[in-house]
Amino acid sequence: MTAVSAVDTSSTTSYHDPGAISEGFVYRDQSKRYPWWVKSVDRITVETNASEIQKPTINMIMMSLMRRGQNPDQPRQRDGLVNKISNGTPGFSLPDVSLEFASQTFFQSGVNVDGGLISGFRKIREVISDQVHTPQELGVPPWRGTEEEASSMIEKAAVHLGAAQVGFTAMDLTWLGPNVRISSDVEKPTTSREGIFFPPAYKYVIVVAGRVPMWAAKCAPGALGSAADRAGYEEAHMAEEKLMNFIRGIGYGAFDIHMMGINPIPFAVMAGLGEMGRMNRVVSPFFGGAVRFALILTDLPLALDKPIDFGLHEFCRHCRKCARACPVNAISFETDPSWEPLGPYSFKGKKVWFEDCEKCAAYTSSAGTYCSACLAACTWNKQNKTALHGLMRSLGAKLPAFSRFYALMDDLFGYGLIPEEKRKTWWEKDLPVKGVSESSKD
Amino acid sequence: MVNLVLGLLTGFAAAWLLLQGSNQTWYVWVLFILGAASTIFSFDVLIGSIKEHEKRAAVLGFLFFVIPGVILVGMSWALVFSQ
Repeated sequence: MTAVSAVDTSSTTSYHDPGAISEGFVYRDQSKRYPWWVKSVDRITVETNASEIQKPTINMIMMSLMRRGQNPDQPRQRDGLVNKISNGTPGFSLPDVSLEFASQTFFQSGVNVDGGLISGFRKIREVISDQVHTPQELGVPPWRGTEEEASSMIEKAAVHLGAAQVGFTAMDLTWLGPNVRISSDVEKPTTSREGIFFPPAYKYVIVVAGRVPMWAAKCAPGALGSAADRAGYEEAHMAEEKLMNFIRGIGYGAFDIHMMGINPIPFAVMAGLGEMGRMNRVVSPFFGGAVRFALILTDLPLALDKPIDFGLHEFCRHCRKCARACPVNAISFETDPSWEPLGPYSFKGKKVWFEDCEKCAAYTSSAGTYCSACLAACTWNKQNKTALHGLMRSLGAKLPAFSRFYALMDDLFGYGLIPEEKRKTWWEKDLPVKGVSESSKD
Repeated sequence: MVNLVLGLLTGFAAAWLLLQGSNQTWYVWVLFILGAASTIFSFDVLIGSIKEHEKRAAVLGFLFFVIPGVILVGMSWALVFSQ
């Protein structure tokens, strides 16, 4: 491992107003990115306090991941899972559980329960790297173009390679642990015992979105719901792997930083792929909570995207559908967000509806499966087979104060999580490829 | 096919109103247009929600829009007949 002696802490992107767009970058035209009811803004809709902001430690993140991990090799989780299968617990039939594992065939190898990063993707990368033919190898110069041209090209390539959507933002150390630094001593993103180090040229982040199959997601919490959650991550990461090869193929560097332990949520919000919801996750105007993200760090100069405002912050004040869906009441029911963190896994400096991460992680761990009921229950999760959803999205964005009414109508119409006793009907439905149908984006 | 049938029915209904003469009051037209739009929308919700496997939303959404739609169209026709 490369020894890192000097650390450049004068990164231009680490000490500005947290949540505001970074200076010194080109921003691409945002006017055609979203429908009329989504505004582009110069800072995220979550209030932040630069003097109070607390950097998450990587150990806490890894601890959280460790406790969330599902692994039948672990006796406690194995017993829980076996009991549920044997007892005929709804949502935990053997096919349900098998589908969950199959849904994360590749992604499962990303993070293991011991807190380390498993090398499944690394092993796969060793194989698929043979498919990359760099300009150097071909004896031609690297691709050259403007930042806008680069962003447009990457977006087209990403969608071709399976991404639901991409967003571009700047690497911002504000959102990362104290052990993540910019260093001119490394030539590529490097993990060592001293921390994670990014070279100064690697200042562009591509956030890759993957769709979550809605109907399976609505079977949360349970193995089918978890299968949807895993499928979303796998979708994002498979597209990401291909996109990284594309970037290398045009002569630039690209590295997966999600698998280095970097939380994608703040980058997805900064890249305008959604707003921060009550459940402390990203809610997309197109996909609601049915979306997962992967992160690429690159030295390819890109025109960045701006954050968005579609009224979600006000909407979440009254809706509370995610809070009602949480099986352990880990999500706040308060009308207004707070500056005060809740427990050791949440951090100061932002005004959000802090969740009780310990409750969430403990439940997920004991359940033997990933939960994501909050994301699956979100009022913004809709398929796009009727014009009613488009109408309601625009009403929700422009008249968010009526979100309690919208949530009541949502319940009345039967949207949201599927009751346990009806979950086996998933196997009887004629669903679209990958369980994903049109969205308002299509 | 359903959209085609609905379009034809709406077209016939509008033509029928036109044939009643051009002396219909403005609110007859407002009632008819709102009612027809709501009725057509109710079928969009019904069919779209069935495709989404949302049966409850399909039934309730259909009733939510078709009932006021039919009432409004009925009122516009009643006004025409009353003249």
